[in-house]
Amino acid sequence: MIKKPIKTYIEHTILNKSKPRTIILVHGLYSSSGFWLEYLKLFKNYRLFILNIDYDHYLSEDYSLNQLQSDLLNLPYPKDNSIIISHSLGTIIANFLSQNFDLISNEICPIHISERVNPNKFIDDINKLMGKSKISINKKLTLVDDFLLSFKPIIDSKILLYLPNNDQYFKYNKRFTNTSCFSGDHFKISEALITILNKIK
Amino acid sequence: MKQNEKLKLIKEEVFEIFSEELDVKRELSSIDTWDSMAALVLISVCEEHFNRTDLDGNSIKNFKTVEDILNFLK
Repeated sequence: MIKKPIKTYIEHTILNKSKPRTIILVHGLYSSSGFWLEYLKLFKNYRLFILNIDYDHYLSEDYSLNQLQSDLLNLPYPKDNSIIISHSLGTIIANFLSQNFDLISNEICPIHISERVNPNKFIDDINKLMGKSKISINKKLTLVDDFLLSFKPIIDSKILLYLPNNDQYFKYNKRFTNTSCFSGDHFKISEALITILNKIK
Repeated sequence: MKQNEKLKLIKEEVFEIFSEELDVKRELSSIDTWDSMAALVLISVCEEHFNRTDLDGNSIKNFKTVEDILNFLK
């Protein structure tokens, strides 16, 4: 059974089961595991453990950080030496998993080392794209800030950061040594993925 | 696997429809639960239950109806 009729707030899908090495994929806010669909061809040589996180649930005002962390830690992760690739808000989750399972974490558009440069444009774009009300998006962004403070992501040698050269929503702190720039924006990340896959070959 | 068994599997696992029938002629765009995440699950179902590893995001774009999926699984 891949999807369950009973609502769960973190689901996972496994693809390319016969491949020996696993990549864990973590999507960002206003997205789903389907974010990775257009990139699947790049991952054909890897087993994929793809998380689908209901951020809306965990970012509600009465969300429990402990519950999210507990849910994340209780997933049936592969026992091999997996690596994690994450995007945007998912980089916080990946950072947490890296700390707990001693995994290499490749974080694309890591918002934990960024500041918003054009929040109104972000809100307008999400409003147009997803049909979410501007008030609810604004509220969610405030909760994201709390979320970031609570998770306390760290930058150590297991964390590799990939920064787009043309992100219209975020400006990244480039003082960390383990960063690479890629040609792309907040949602066009194929060049970063190709770089990561070349590194781990 | 028989056609009706395939339909039941797709209906429940991909579309998460448990309580109603699903017409094979139904357009995917009219199914609320058909989105990129469901497409990802479809790829997983094809691999797990049909040993088909030749489905990707691009080929899924060509599927217009439920029947197209079933035809792919023939």
